[in-house]
Amino acid sequence: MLKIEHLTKKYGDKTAVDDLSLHIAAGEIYGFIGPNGAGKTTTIKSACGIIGFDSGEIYVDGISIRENPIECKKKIAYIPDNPDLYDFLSGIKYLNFIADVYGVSKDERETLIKKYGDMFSITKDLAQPISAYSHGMKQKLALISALIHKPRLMILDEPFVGLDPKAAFTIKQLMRELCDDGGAIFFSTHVLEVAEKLCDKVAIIKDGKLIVSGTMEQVKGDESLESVFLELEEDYA
Amino acid sequence: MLKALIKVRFISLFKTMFTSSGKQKKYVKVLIALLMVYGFGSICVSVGIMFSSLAVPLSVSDLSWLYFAIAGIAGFCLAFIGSVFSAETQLFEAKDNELLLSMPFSATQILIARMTALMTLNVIFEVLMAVPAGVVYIMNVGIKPLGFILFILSLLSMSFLVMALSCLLGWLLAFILSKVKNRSFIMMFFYILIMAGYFKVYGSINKYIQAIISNGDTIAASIKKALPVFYYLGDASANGNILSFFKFLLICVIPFVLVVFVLSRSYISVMINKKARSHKAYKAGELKTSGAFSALLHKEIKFFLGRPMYIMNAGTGIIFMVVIAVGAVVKQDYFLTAIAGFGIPDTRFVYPYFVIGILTMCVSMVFISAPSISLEGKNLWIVKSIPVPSATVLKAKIASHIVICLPFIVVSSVIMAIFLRMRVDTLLLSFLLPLGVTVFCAVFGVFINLKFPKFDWINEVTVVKQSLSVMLTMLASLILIIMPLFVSSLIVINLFSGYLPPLLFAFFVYTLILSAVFYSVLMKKAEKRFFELQ
Repeated sequence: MLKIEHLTKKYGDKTAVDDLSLHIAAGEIYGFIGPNGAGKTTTIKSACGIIGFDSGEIYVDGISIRENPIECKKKIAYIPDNPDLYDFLSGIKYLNFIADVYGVSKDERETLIKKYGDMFSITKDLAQPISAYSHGMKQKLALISALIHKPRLMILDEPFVGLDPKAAFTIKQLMRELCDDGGAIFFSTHVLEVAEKLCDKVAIIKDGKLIVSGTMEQVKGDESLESVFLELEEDYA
Repeated sequence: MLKALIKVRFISLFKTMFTSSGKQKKYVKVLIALLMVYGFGSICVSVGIMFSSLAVPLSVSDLSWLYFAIAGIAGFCLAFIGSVFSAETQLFEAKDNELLLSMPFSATQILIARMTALMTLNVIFEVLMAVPAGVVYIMNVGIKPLGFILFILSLLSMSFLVMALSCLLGWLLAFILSKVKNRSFIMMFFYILIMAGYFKVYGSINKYIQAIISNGDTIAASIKKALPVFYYLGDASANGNILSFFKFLLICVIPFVLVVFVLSRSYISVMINKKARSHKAYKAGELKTSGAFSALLHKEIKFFLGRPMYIMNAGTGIIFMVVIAVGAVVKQDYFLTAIAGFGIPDTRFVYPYFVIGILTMCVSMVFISAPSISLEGKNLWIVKSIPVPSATVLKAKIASHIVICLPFIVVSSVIMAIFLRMRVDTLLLSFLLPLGVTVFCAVFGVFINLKFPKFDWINEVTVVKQSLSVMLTMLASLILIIMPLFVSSLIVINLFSGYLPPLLFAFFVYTLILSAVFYSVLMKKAEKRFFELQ
């Protein structure tokens, strides 16, 4: 579903991502872990077609993001680490805007907004302007906006930050459902316990370079993901 | 700590005109400098001309103090108008308010840091009025060295008074806005009120100058009685009276200290309460659907209409359009006198074209699209991640500018058509020429903003008011359209009277060609350049 091949991205002299290759297959929840400044957000933004890259290639469902970004974006839902949304719109108007942009039919958007709004307990707040939302509410709204156009691939940057326990549980369920339906999830996180329980595969990145990747069992073995991560951090310091 | 806060505020204030990357080519810096020199120069010259007719008569009448008092009043008014709305947005609406409140700064320190930046802008406004007035006086009459020093010191001190009053009004505005739902309406009401007053005074400036010359003594007595603060300023500057200067200084500083004291008490509560709104529960209903372009267009229009500051700074021209159209009907004599001022004999014949010219000038001062890319700010990721070509996003920005202006252009044309009984070709021109200029400004604004975007702003007002793309759009419409239109119209009137309609049609075609050229370059570069934005 998402194939990243030899991705390299530089900001001036600094190499943010260095020859990174990952393959996220359909049905997989893929965790992306690394310390601050490791290159996670840069990789994610490159994969979503938000920023360009210097070399390598990224394919979404077999389509090159460099050559056909629009077709790729139709299949992707992206949520950034900080949900800065249009605060001059109300929640419902923002969702309707996203539905318009992705060409979601009238009936489907009404059904899905109701469904996800109720699941995240935000339906009653949808008439409020986004400027009045808390961080968690914005995060919920961003998640709903990502789900209402039925993406094949969800790319999420720190999706659990600011969510209440119920919403965090709900999104984990929804992630699994999406993968069961043939979709894929690629997300970054610092919450290693969540990654350990939720992910089928995991990649650890440091200083733009891939340190290790594979199935959760391959990466952590009998240890916890946290101890493996800390050990690798030290080894590659 | 206060020093650090003030420093940050100044960096934010002056960085606004530069692009996000901070790396600008030399020619851009030269262009900015030239633009500023041109802007300041033209204002200074026109103010100087205005004051040149007052200097000698008032000096001869032994009313030199009145001259400086008038210069002070003019500087005060300009600075007050310039800062009253900025005060509301910069003091109470800045995006870093909550961050600063979480730091170990007192409300007074935050307030003073913000006020210092605003006061610097006030001094610039005051200088625009007072310096040409001072230069004209020195050239025509002469001034004592002490008087000159006191004049400069008075100007600096006056910014305290301007700040005190604009903060007070800004606070009142913020307080009212925190209680009402329709913020845009209230802001626009205040704005139109103040601008109407400004234009009323500006429109009658020659009448006032004549009145001052012929009734200097009476006016001097009135100012001395009603506005003693400006008498002290005038007396200190004209006669070098130190006592008057200290009186002036006290009158300026005491209100400022009081305002800082009072505002710092309620500063936090006003900032926090502004978010308290009544909670309206959502009731699921039918949702309207539209295409991607239409959704983007509505988003742009909604953003514009929801930001009074945006409307006031970027859209004033369209409001003036309607005011001018109405004025052209009810104040024909005033306009005819203005036309005669250009040495045009057949004023009646030229009248409708002159009004069309003014309407065109009004729309050339609309800059809705010029800051529109920068205003995406932290929301840029949304338009970059949606499956819509960048060209469509930019087209929506261009279209929103045109769609917002269109009703005003139509209303102005209709008013003129009904009341001025214009010929069909003239009527068509009253619609087409402003439309052509609107299309140009819309296209050029996006074109230039894509080249010079700025996303790391703290307050939207600085992007809309001071950014490079806005200044360059303003300059482009002036140099490429308004000035050639004005000059060629004067030539045609004087040499080939009767040929104005073909000239204006030619200009309409010219604006479309210009727009097409910039549009074509924009669309060619749109995908690549938009993709590079971050």
